[in-house]
Amino acid sequence: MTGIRDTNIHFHQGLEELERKVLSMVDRAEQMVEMAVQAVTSDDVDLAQRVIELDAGIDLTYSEVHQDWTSLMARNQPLGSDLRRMAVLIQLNVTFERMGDQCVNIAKIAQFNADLPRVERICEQIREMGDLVRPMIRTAIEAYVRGDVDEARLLPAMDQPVDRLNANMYKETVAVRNNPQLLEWATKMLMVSRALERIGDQAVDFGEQTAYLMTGEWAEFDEDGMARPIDEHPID
Amino acid sequence: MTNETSTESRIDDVIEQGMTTEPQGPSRPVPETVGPPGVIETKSMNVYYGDFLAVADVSLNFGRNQISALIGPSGCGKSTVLRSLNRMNDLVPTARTEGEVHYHGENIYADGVDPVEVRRTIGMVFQKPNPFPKSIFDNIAWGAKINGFRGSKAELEGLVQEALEGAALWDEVKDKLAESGYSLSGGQQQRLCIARAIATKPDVILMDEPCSALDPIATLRIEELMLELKENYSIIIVTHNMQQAARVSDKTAFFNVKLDESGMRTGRLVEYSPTDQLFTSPTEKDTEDYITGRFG
Amino acid sequence: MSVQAPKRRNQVVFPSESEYRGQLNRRRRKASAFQFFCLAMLSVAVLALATLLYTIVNDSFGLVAIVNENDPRDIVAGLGYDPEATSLQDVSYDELVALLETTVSSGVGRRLEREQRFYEDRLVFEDDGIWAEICASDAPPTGCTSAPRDDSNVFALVQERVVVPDVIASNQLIPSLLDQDAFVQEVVAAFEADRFPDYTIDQVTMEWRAWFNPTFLFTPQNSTPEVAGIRTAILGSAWLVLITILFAVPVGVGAAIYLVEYAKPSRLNDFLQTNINNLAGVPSIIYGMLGLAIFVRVFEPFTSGAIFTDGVPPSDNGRTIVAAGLTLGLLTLPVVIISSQEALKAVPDSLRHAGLALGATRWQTVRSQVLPVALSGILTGTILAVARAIGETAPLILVGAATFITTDPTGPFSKFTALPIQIFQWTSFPQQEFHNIAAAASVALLLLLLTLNAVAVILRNRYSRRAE
Repeated sequence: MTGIRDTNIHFHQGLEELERKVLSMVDRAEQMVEMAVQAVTSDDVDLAQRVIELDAGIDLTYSEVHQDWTSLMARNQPLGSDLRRMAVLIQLNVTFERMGDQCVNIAKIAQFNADLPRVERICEQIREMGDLVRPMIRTAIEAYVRGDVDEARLLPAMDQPVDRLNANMYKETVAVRNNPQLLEWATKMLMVSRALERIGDQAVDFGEQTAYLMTGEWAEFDEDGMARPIDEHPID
Repeated sequence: MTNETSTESRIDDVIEQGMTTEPQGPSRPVPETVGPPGVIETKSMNVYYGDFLAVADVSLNFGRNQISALIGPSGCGKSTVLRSLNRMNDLVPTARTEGEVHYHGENIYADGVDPVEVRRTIGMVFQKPNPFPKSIFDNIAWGAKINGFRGSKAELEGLVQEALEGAALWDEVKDKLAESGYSLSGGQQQRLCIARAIATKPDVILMDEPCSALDPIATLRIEELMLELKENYSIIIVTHNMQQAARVSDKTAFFNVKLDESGMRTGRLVEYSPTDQLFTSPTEKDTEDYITGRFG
Repeated sequence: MSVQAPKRRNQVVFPSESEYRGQLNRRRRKASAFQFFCLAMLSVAVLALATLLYTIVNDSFGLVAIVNENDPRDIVAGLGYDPEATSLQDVSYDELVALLETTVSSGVGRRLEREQRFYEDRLVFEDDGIWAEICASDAPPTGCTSAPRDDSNVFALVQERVVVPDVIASNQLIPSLLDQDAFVQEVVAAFEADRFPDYTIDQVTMEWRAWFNPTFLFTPQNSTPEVAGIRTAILGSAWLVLITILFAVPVGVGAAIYLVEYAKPSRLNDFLQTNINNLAGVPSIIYGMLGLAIFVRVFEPFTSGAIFTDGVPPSDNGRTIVAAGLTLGLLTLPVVIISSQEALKAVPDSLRHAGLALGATRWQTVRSQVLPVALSGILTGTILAVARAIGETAPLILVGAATFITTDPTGPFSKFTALPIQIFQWTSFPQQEFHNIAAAASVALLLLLLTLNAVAVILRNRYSRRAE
């Protein structure tokens, strides 16, 4: 709209910078997922080490974001969508840092499992989970950047196969209980599966934050991606 | 093996695609409060100064025992609206009000309504503290006397004390009631003006930017006082300080001023919502632009 | 020492350092020149005022060469008193009247009595029967109705008729202080040139005379300058001031309150305001003409007092104090209105709004909040306006201030004179002595004005302190 001037431009520039940093965290996390899954299914210890090193970057950014956020909050009194974006970014900061930690868990298991025998079936399923989770992250990022709530609402559906694969992993683990080494390996892979399932949930959380930012209403997604408002009472 | 720089550029690529939409307000409409009429209700009020339409089509319902805030950029007519509520606008020779303002159901702009009577029950506190050049006691007592106070001296003293206590000023001035009102600090003077206003036992207190001439500590004390006064009075406040409106008010009305085809800048009511909602997710884009500072 | 400013970009439009310093010196010189010029103007003004004061004071005091036809000391001795212990002023009223009886001719005595009686109960010169007759006639003399003479009045008469002082030469204050001999020489030379054929030089006494003295204030008017005083004029001026205030203040302040507090802006209002402003500048003589036409002629029944009495009106025409007072009142009215308006406008609107917002009517707000604050300004403006009115001469001449009147005014319907009129009349006579008493009267007028201004300042300070 012509004639609109941003009188709060310093704050908005700071906000954009903050957002850039937060998004860089999730972007890196997505790469780390790819690398970690690859490492744990191919016994690539060096790749696993690389994942662990990348997490240091996320942790550094996490702490920077926290400080920048607090400073922005103190110096400006953001309102409206600016306020919602700030609330969303501080949540995502935590979420993405955890995402990185989950990847580190997978990488550590990769190192631990490297000398153990493996079950190819399980590895396939883990790879499949990875291939399902990574597009979720990308979808969530694009939904956030484009402000597209409908796209964000696709995420719960994308999460369902991940949940199913995770549920199935227990059966696969039990199937090799007679071989102690395989059991050890498989138990660890169960933890990998759980980590990937959590990353999927975190991607869904990302989508919910996006929906809150865009609509101003806080709601959790149910399975169809429809918003279920946190309280049923109309705004008074 | 991906390295750091390509990490950055990936995000940049995505961000550069940009937002296709901007954040909107709530997706479902906020239900209209079709409740009982509030203590003051305006219906399609227009206020003219001569030929100039200062503020147009204002319909607001101010709740009882609530604090309602009017915010907006300068020239949006919020002070004009406030002054119309107790017919103080009548003092401007060229001012003209169309539409109705209902106070307890009666239109205060109807023929035959005496503005003097209206102003007794709808009190006003002004931007710059304006105590009378009299003693503190007389400042408060005068309002009662001109409205026909018939009680004894002791009853008058009781009334003055009650008003000063109600304005959280009694402890500070009880030993110097005979001193001039001007001997007080700015914040105390404003509380004196509040005490003076509540001495006539009004129903509604209008406040026109009451803290803009005060320092931050005095401001916070007045805000605290407003929250106490809410129990017994209905308060309508005009403020240019959004954070103040956010702190004290229950509902906030946002006014905006637009240049229309003939070049006249007329103020209009854009949104009137519960304060929480207006400042976190307003329904109107104009409101969102104003509170985030994107305002030309 | 010059202050070096930090280097800025875009120095092109500003002068360089050395240019700037040169300019700065020029600017400083110009500033000093202007300051000096203003000081010079102030000095001119002060000098002019000082010259005025000097001239007036100079003529009010000084040495005189005086010839008394009858030496007051001889007169006192003749009455049986010791001239060293008693002066003519201490002699009793009755003795003075007796002295007059023996000294003046009966014709003069009757005239004096008809002007103003000596006693309430008995006549000195006139015959009772004739007195009753003339008082009952259509045009009775003033002595029939006026109060009898008093001590100072008769003393002045004795001075005039018995002592008969004649100042043959007078000297100004500064020359008198600096060089008395020169004056003596002058008088001697005048005698040798036979300028005073009626007197011989040994009849002359040199006296130090203060033309402005307390007696001067309390002595009535007289055709002999040595004896004349300004009592009648002062009383006349006092009455005028009273009537002016009584008329101009309520009307003026009331009008100002209406114009400032109640009137809505409109063409009629602008018209009224313009006219009031213009009227403040109208020459006072025009007010005199107005006063003559309206108050003296048209309102004659009122201004002569005829409508208040059934029988003999206090005055035979409208040229009375009340007519002159109303004229002066009209003269001061626009100024009072304007200064009251200014005082009221100076009261901040926030006070009015505060009052009205409490549910007060406009009058309640004006009376309790606005007027007390404006009061000092209104008072100051009024007193200053009245002070100026005291000095007005032209309208009084037109309305008929008598230039020679010896009886004190008894009420608003009396004939009168006023200080400026007196001064005007005396300066038009050629004799130096009249100039002396004119100067003395000017001193009195200036003192009166100073007092009024001082009252204005005191009242203003008192009320503005209260307002705080």
